[in-house]
Amino acid sequence: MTAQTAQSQAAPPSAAPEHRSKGQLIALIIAAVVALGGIALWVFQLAGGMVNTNMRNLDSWGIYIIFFMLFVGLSAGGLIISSVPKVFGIKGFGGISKIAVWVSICCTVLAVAFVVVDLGGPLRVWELFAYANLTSPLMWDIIVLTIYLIISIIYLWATLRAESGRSTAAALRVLSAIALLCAVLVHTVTAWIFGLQISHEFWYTALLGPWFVSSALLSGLALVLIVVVVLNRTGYLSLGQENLIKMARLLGVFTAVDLYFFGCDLLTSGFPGGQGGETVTLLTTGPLAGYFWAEVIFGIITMIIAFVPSLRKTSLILVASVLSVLAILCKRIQLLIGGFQIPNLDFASLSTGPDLSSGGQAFSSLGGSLIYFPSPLELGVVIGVLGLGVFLLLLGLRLLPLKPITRTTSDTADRD
Amino acid sequence: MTEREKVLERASDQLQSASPETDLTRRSFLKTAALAAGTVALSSSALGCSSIAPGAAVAPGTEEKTVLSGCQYAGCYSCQGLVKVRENKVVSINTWPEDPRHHKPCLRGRAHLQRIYSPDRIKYPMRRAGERGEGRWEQITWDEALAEIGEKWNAYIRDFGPQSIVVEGSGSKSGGYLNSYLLTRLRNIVGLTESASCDDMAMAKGLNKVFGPAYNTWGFPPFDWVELRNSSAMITWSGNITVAATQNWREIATNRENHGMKFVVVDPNFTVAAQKADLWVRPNPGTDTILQFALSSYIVSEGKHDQEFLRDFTVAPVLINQQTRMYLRLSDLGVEPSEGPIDPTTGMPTVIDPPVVWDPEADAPGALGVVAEPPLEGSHVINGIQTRTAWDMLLEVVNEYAPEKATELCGVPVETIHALADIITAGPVFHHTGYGSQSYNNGVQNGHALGLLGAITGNTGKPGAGTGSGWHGPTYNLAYTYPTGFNSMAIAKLALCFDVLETGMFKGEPFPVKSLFMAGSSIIGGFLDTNRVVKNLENVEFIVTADLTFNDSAKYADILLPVTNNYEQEDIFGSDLYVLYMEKAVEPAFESKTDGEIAIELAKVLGVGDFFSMTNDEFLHEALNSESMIAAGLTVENLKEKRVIRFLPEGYVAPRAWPTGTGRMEIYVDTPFPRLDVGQTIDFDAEHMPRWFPPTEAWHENELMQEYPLIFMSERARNRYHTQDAESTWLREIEPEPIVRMNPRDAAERGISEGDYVEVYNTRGHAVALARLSEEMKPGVVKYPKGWQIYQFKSGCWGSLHNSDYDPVGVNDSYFDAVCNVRLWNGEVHS
Amino acid sequence: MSVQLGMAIDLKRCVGCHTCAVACKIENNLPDGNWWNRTTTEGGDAQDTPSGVYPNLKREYITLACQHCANPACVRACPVGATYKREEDGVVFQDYEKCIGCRMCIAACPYTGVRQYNWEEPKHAMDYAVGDADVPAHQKHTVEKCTLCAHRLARGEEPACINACPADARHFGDLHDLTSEVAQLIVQREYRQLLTDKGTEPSIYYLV
Repeated sequence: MTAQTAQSQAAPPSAAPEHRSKGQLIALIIAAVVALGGIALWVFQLAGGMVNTNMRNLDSWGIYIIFFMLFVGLSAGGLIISSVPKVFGIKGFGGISKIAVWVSICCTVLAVAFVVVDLGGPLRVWELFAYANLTSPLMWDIIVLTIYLIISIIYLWATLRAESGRSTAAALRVLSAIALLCAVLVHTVTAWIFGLQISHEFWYTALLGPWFVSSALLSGLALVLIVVVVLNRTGYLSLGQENLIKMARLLGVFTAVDLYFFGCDLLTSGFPGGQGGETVTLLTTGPLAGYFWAEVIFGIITMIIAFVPSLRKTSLILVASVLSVLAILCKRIQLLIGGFQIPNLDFASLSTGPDLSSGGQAFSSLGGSLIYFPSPLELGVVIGVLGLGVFLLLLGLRLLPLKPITRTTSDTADRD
Repeated sequence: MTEREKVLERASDQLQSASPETDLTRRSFLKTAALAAGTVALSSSALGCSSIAPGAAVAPGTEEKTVLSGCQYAGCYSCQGLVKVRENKVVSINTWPEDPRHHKPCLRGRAHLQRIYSPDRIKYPMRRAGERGEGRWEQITWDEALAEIGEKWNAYIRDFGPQSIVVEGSGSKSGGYLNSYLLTRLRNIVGLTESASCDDMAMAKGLNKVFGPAYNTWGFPPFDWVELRNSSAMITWSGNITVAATQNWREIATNRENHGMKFVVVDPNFTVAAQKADLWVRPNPGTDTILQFALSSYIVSEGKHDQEFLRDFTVAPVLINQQTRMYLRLSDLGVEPSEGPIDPTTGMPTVIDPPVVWDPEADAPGALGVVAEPPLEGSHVINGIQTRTAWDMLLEVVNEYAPEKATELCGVPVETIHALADIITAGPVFHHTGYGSQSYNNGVQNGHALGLLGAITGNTGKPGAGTGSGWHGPTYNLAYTYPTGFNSMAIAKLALCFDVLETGMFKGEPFPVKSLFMAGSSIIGGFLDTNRVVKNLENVEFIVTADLTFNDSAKYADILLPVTNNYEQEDIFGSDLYVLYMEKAVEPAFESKTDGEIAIELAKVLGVGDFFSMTNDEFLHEALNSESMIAAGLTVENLKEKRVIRFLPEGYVAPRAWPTGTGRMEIYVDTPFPRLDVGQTIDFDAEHMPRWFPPTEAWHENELMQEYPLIFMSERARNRYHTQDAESTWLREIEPEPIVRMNPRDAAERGISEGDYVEVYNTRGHAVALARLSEEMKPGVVKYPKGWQIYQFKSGCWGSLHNSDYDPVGVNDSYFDAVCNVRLWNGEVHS
Repeated sequence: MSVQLGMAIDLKRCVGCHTCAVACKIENNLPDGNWWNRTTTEGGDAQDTPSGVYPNLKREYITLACQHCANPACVRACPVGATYKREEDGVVFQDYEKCIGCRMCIAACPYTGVRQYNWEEPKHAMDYAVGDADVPAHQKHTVEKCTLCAHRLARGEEPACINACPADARHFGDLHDLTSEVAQLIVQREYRQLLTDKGTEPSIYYLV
């Protein structure tokens, strides 16, 4: 341990100043209110019918599943960031592992919440366990997500126990390995919900599994970075600049990998010039072009910030992280909507009634308007769920001992 | 809120529910907010688990019965089907597997049950409670309605005569003995005026010129579709077969499969029939006659005409007096005419004065029918009279349009004309007539020219051959509808709506029309020049409408009488070569009555109730009490048992004898006369032979086309039976609103894209519709699926664009003889 | 050999009249806006429009409903087995009671539009149930689709759309029974199927 690190770690965590606690409380209350508002809207959605969303038969999934994908990725990423150093016995990122796990748990809960708000019959959720159809990737994902949530919680608990000496580092390491495996599996299986479906050319690729994992790493790390930078500012923790830079560089690498996968997929679609060409057009110049180019540009900006030493300032890293999460959100949007945007059968048929809402009228014309855009209700529910996430996050920060410890009680503990 | 306002609100709701707009509108927000507020305890149904009603599964053991009933439209097929009734409501109609006609109710027939319970249904007698056309009504009782009608009508009869009351329409179903025919009976006994139909009559008139009129307009020989088994080809002249004659398409398809029958479609646009055709022929609109002449000319020039037939069964060899242009007759040679049997229509003996032909053996003139083999050609001076054979004169006409000369004008390539001629002469063919080609002021010529073509090819009176197909019914007992003789005069609907109602004159004499009884009429919206009709209705003091729904016709009434739907009444009537019995499936809903029952009630208030005091069965017995009916075994008992009986034997082939003066095909008409007498003069001279002249409006040489360059056509709609079913929500999910088909090039010129709202307009009116860009349309032509009600348009209506100008011979609605232009709609709403 | 019910639809006869679609709608008492069977146009971009330039035009009508695939993608994807393939006749069936409304099956099925989700409490044009009494009630927030009129099959009757077609274009029967009319037609006539490259093995044959 260098003197510098020791010094930064020796900085005592002072008692929380009054304003922080109050601010946190206010934030908690606001988040709770937003979450309750979201629940009210959800009840409204169930009672009044999902017709109040802009999803319809020709684009039967929308923003809820988009955010589901995003949050599975965010949660998997968080846990991977936390567990990889332990598994491989390498230096971590300055003791943020518990925060990362808690962020990951919150994200998992939100992912599940997004699926639940998307269900038509949430009271029938018990059927998933009574009648589980084990050939369904959605069923696999539910099973894995459940296991993953449990493991995440156990992992956090184990970390806390290890910190207080009530559990061995070796046991923690084993658990870390399981958690890591689970995290990778969770997002791979989520990818398979789409990647195994022959129904949409846009989705059906072997690459989707690995690609989701790389997106998870990218977005998960970015989210952890955001939380950590913010908490650093508020004084909750004190993060060494070198750890920040380490993570920023990693962010750049993950971005490169993700864009590499994207490039491979685009080329594979576009090269033969046949039907796949439709996909390329849809993304590059069609209705999804905005999201495509945003993702690419945000990715380039992120890489620049990550790899140019003079740009690796905290504020810019924060910007890069936010852009990374948005970039992955754009990617989810492209994947989900893009899949539905190109119908397999484009015979002219009934195209009024519940096939298309006013949010998406372009059944048979690419380059027309998008087939889907969320309704105010859907946006409201999403904001409500996000509010729930913020609430849980703040609650955890308030009630759980998530701060990085400064006393060195074991060798591994301060290598987090 | 008035009935009408409720209906309009419901109608607009229904239209909205068929539209893609589903944003969280204020209405839906309030509805669902109320729902959410009301469900404090989160019931499983609120949370989207189970649904209870009305789509709920039917309780087990619910009583059901099946009744064989069906549509009752003489203008269609009146398909019978198994009507399922559950708790006294009609729930479906399905195919009757034992139907000897093998008919299957189409989408319209299936959707009919919606009309019974439609929110637009007229449930009770209503009296107008505002200005005419405002749509405000007050409910009254039948007694009140009949009392008012009786009071007014009896006064009109007293002061202006019974002819001052005009009956427009034949009931909301057409052709039934207990409905349409009871109305006819009433009309005849009291002496009310008939508004005689002018719909799709020009082709019929043209063919009647050749084949002779029978007791009804459609008297030309029926063609039994079963006979397609012997036809080498079937040609439809502008028939939209797959939509308007769906049941016949099956026969066509089967015969193509079984023996390679050829299917030819003559139509400027790519209809579905054209899509299926072996040969698609595309004459310019209004030039089908030229095409027929070209075919005749070519066939004769190739020597493929049936000379024996022409000689023995047509007036081709008859010598025509070149001065009078009429048949030379024996009386011109000094032979006294003799008397024949009494003509039942005139009550006078027939005069026998045969036309003259040349007898080659005697080298002298002789009588038609006596001379064995008169020549088709020849001119002779007989008794100082210059004569030529009819054949020579007709050949001159058709040769003017030999293929090489015709092709420019009619737009059909010479090779196609030759190919079609080859098909026509390859064997017996069936010439099916649609109504498109006759829908211009030169439409009568179309029928006449087709008759000529049929005669030239000997294409009638043998298996597999048909030239036109009359909708035929057996001759019922005329005493049923005319028990006191023929007391009712007829005024052509065209003359009524556009001349008589406007001027108060008919045939130069004052003719006040005090009241109009609209019994299933469609003169508003489903007819021509709507704005002019509506204006002219202002001159009618008292309008009574008997109809099923609050449609266009009901809009302008003073008294509304609610009528029954198909399934709520029994009846017997003819359809093509069959007579059908339709059983009543459910009791009439609300206070509706059948058209027949209304006729009976009206008879009572008019003091002729004695003629109407019979039961349904007694009425039917009287109607069927005719020679031809009895001979065909068409008794009420038989019909009730068998439900459908052919009145002509299977494989019926019309005999080669026709009810013309000569008993032959009169391809040259001796004494042409107009279809209906409206006091017009016709060009007698010009009408002996078919000829072609351009349509009045829809012709490029017409100056009007400089500003209105598009020809304006309509098509039978899949989703409506004429104007009926326009309110069906199911059918409106398929076709939600009025559209106009136009060629993409015409659209591009006007900056119009698919799905734009456009205004179709001309000097007479306008209509706003969705643009449907389609290459099926010949450039320069626009076409709309017909039958929308005025309230279903964003502005205007189709009827307002049509031309009320009519040809004096055919006295026919010339729907397509109109031009228009199209532009993007600017959002203005006006009539 | 197992039974696989299927259809042969004669495109030469089909004139796109929508009668089969309306017959199905009424028979199954479908909610407003739901169509299990629809008449689509293969040609131009809008209903009834052909491809090509006047007068060289082409148009075909394809009536489209669930293809009752031998290798159905939806069955594999449903997490609760609400959609399943029946052993006795190969019909791909939908159990409304089990459906949790996740719409995975809609995402999994390549045949655009054949599956309908009830996005709200089913609204019906008529305030009483039309069609057949044995049809299960429609439920809000569940997926539904053509069932080959399973309620009629149970009574030994053919699906409503089959006997409704005025053009006699629709044939139905056991594809695995070589003596059945439908199997014979497939042998005798040229046909096409939809999306065969997806490997779903649809049971609907379009005779050309």
